[in-house]
Amino acid sequence: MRNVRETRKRYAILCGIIFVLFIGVMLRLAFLQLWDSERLTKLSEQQVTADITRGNPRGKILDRDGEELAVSIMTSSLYVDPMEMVDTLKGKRQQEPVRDVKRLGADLLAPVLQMSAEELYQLFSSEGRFLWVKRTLEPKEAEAVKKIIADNKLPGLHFLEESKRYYTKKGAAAQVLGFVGTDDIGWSGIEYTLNTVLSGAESRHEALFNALGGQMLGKDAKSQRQENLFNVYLTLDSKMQYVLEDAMDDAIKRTKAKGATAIIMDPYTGEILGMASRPTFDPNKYHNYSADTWSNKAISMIYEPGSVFKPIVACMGMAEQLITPNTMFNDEGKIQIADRVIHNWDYKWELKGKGQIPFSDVIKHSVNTGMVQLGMELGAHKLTNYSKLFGFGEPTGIELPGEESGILYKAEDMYKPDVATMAIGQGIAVTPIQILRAICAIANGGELLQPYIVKKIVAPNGDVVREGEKKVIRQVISKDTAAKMRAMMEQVVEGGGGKSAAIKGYRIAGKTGTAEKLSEKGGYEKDKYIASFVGFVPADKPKYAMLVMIDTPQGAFYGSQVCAPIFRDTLQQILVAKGIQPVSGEGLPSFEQLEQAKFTEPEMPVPQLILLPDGRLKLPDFTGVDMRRAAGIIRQGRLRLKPQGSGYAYKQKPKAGSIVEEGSTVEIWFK
Amino acid sequence: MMNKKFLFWENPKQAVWHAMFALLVIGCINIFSASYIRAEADGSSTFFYLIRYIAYSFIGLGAIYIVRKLNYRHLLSKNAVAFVYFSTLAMLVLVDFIGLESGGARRWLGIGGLTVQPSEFAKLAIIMMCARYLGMQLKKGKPVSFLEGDGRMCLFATLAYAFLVQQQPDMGTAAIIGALMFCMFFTAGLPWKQVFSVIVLAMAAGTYLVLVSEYRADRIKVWLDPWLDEVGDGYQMVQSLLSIGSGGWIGTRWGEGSSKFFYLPEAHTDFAFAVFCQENGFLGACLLMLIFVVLGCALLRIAVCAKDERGFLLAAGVSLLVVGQAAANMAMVCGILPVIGVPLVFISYGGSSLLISMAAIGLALSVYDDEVERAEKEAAAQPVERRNDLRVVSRRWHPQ
Repeated sequence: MRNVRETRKRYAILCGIIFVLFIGVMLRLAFLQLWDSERLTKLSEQQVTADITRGNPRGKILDRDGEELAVSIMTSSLYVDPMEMVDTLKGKRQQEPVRDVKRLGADLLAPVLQMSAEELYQLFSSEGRFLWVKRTLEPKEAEAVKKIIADNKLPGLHFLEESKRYYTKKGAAAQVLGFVGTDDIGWSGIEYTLNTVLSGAESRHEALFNALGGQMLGKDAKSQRQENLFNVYLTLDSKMQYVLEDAMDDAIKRTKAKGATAIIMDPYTGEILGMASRPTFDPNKYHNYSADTWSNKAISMIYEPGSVFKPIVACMGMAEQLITPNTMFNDEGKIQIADRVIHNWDYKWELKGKGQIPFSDVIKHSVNTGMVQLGMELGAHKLTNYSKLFGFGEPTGIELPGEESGILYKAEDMYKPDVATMAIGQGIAVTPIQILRAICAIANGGELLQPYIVKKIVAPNGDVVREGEKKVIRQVISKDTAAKMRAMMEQVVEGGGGKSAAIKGYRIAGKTGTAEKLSEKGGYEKDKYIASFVGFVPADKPKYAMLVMIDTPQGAFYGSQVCAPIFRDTLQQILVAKGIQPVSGEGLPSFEQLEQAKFTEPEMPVPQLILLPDGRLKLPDFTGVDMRRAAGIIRQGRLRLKPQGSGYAYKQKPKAGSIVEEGSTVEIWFK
Repeated sequence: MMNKKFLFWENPKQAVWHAMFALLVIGCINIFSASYIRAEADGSSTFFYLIRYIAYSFIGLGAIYIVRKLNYRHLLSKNAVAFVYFSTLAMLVLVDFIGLESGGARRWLGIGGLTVQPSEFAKLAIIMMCARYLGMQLKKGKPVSFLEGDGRMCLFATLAYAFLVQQQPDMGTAAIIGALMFCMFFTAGLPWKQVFSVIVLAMAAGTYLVLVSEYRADRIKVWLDPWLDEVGDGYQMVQSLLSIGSGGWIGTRWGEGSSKFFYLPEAHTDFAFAVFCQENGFLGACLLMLIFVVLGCALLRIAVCAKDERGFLLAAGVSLLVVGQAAANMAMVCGILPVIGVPLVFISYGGSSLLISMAAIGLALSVYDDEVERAEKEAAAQPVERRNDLRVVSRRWHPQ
């Protein structure tokens, strides 16, 4: 029995050791979990949390009234880590057949991503640990891809959130807005110049990560998306821009011109209200267009202004007190300066010229000989110095990329013929915005303004961090000179070369211009002209100044023929839309009538309700129609419209061709 | 004596059952929490490990039933022990050749869809073998020794296991197999001279191994201060300490612990206790230890009360295997002992370990059954003192 007692004793020793071990563990745990817990918890949290930069959507670009021009939404971008793209069904579950994940993934995803399976397979087999598969997927696409990944347990495919830009008005003001590349960096236009403001919204968040560097799903902790957006309001007016774009499309169609541009500016503030350029592009799909469509002709094209420059030279003459509107000039139809003979534009039929005419008629009929005489009197120095004062030869400083400064001779390099031609707007190269700004100085009483396009920038908290405001660079001419010039320019439209720009009931001042096109190689291009018209309305107290320029029109090429009608049509719509009353009480077409007239053109048929003999109505297809017009059509048939969204119709219920009773409801979705 | 009240329980058997079920339930919860992230990352079902754990639990319950049915005396017969020993030996040999490789070691045999870890079986085989041999010696009143006869055979048989396990390589388990054998001999009354010789020898061998291998020396260093190399060798220990420490009094909310997000290696196996501590805090950990202590005490009661020496040694071995390993694992996870691969039975994921532990508990219960039966027989054999002044009335109305 001694034996037995000994064994129990020995066993008790072992059990005692184990018990002591338990006590030791308990003390150790007490130390770790109670005494040292704070430090260890902190360390543990530190290693799990990391700051991530999350791409927030880019700030919006809006028009002056807050209408959205460019917005961003967050989309998913798909990337692959090829190292992870191996079969995980190995090891313990060897009985399962090993899958070729790369091939499987490529085959399954190819149709959804609209990429070839071979291309995807190559991508999945590449070296490296991070490769984009496809960026900024549409939400539906992303959902489909996520489902495929989950259903087939595809490893190595991950999403990152990226912001995608949408231009709500398609091509409207495309060159002004510019576009962003896939890295959410602005490449042109406002997107480029204000890139830091618009995309400065990348914010840092705390997120929880697993040890492999992946974000812990479902453990989103403290991270909440901050809408960290700076919104940029432009001075553009969407309505005017829309009219302008329309007019440009129309002009290109009619004249088959190589390019065109039009600008509307507030002559008293320098705000750009509308700016269009042709050829154009859709910034939503910029990569489908050639790069030359991206450039903004309104600020980057340099050309000889031609007669449009004459009012500016006339101002110089009046400022130097060389002439008054009544100063008499002798027009012989041509004038010789040194070895160069300069004709009037109408020399072919007005062989002998107009004889003795006051200076106001020189402007009215755009008489070259009179202008040359004035130019010669002014001389090279005054011409160039005044041109500089009028802002030529340097960029206007509008906040858009790619602005040109134009070309101005040095006075000392000018020969007499150069002086003579400069007086009629040749031998000087300008940008459209420069010309319009100089004309605005005439319109507003002599102030040369800084044109601007950014109305305000609004911070995430609603503060206006920057506000565009009128900036007078200098008083170039006196109010009196400007007033006299306005009167002369009004005559141009009333009965001179700009007659076709006249709008019944409004006082309009303007000037036409036609110049041979400068060749890129130097000299002029044969039979290629640049037609332009610049003017403002109303002539006495201008609200809008506008320039229309058409590059190389086919057929008719005079500014009066090509540009003045565009000026007229465009402004007419704008005046009506803006409710600016005509001076004379003559009846004007209403905005709707004008719209109607515009849309009866064959290429854009207005959908019409068809009244059936039994009094019921057949619905047209509303696709592409805006809400206002849709409402009009619906009203005609005494139907009720139930609109969804805003913009242009893309869906309707009942369907096109359905027959409905009077008074029934038609639902139309707009976007 | 044996079926006396044990703490709050009617008898130790009930305590063993309750403790075991409590551990299984905690195990289920902790296994799931510790493994679901990993399971998802592996492309498996979220419940991959949980389902297997539950399946092995049921197999374990089956093993308990069978073991109790067979009775430990039969299982400690010469043939049965030889069968267990040699079939385990065969598995250990096989695993060195055709075992499934994982993390640079071959430790598992794939049988059908299941994997078994023969080194876990070896632990139980050692206990059974020692219980039989040492029990016989004690019964015969012979001394226990490493140096002669069957004792020497036991030593060699164990060394054969240890060698094969070491070849996997799995030095930790090899050491545990050796230690189990030593504890059995120690309990059975190994002469103190041999006890000290073995301890001195083991320490010398340990020192030698540490000295010749820089790798082992580093492991000792990081055991002493894991923060020295918290991104290298000390990484696992540091992660374990961070997990435990961040648990505080009551732990994070369940499932909210961060360590299982691939921070803590072996979070669902050897270091499951760290995840448990993180999510259940100090109080939870104390409760878990208390359950193990209760289980250990109940097994101790069963062992101590066994009149049969083999039964005593068997039950003692089982208590060392189950509770001793648990204590060792906890001590390692919180940095008291250097890390060698010992699972925390019931809490760590490991099918073989769970199955073997439950079978071992089955053996202990069998010892209890046998002892109760024997005691009853003994009591029945005792002549009942008849008292003529008392009449048994109850028997007549007994429902039977």
